[in-house]
Amino acid sequence: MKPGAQRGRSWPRVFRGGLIVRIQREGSWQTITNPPKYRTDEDWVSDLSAVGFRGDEALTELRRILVTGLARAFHQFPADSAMVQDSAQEALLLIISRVETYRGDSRFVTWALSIVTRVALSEMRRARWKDVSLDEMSEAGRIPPPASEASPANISYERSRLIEVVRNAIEDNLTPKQRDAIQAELGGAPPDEIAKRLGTNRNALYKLTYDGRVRLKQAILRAGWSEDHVRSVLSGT
Amino acid sequence: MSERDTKLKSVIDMALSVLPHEIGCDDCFDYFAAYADHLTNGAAMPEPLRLVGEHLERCACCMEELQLLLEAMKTQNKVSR
Repeated sequence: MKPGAQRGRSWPRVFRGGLIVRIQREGSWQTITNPPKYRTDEDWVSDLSAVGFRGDEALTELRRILVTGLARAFHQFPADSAMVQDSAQEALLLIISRVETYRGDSRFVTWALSIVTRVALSEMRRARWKDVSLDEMSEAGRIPPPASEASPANISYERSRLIEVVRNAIEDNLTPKQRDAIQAELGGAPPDEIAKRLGTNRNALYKLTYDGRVRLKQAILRAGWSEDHVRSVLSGT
Repeated sequence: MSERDTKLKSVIDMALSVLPHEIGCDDCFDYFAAYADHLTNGAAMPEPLRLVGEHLERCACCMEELQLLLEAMKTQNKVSR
């Protein structure tokens, strides 16, 4: 039963000061006075392309949506309010410049939120990794040899062999760029930052690591290991 | 699991999960919003969006972006009429 229905009244309600609606937010119903204008996806494209009050009003509303969405999405990160505001502003400029590329295969607001979350996350990753070099990223992802200080002494013979096969595959079968990219990823570095240091973009980096993954798989299989055997040794941790 | 074992498992997953045709991060992002809408609506995924799903299974960074987008989308209210 919708709220209000039990009292024989329907929503939304009009009163002298404007309009009252009931909204559902996280499972509970709340009352809002004078809610923002409802826009279809086509309205968003048309309003954001308009000049004057109509365009300004749409921009203000979209900015509010971006800031609210970001604040919610990043609430568990130590993101400050300035980061949220800056990212919303940067995303707003991107959205305006790309509004004609919106294809309509998603809700407009979802499309806009996808842009602002990418902008904010990229900024956060950039700040977190700004002082880390590619060498350091790559080193962080290196797999130590079986007999090392970092490894327990009682690992199985099979597991030791698998480690050596994978280490050799990485050393002998990858190009230096593929090795750096894959090890940096293993070390937890984000693709945006790896791509920057390799002087490429994220899509080209994906292609680079894809080719590396193919080479690694071939090398493991060539060494006489079946996929099932690798999985069974891995699961014996 | 030791740090070495985690890396070993990750690199083996990267290698063995390779598919003949995968899309990259930028191609994935082109369909990101549509994928998120389909996911929240529970609608069946058409072919291009299935490729997005496959990419997300192999790319932790894009998966993190999707989780944040889904969280941001929760701020969009349903107005009762």
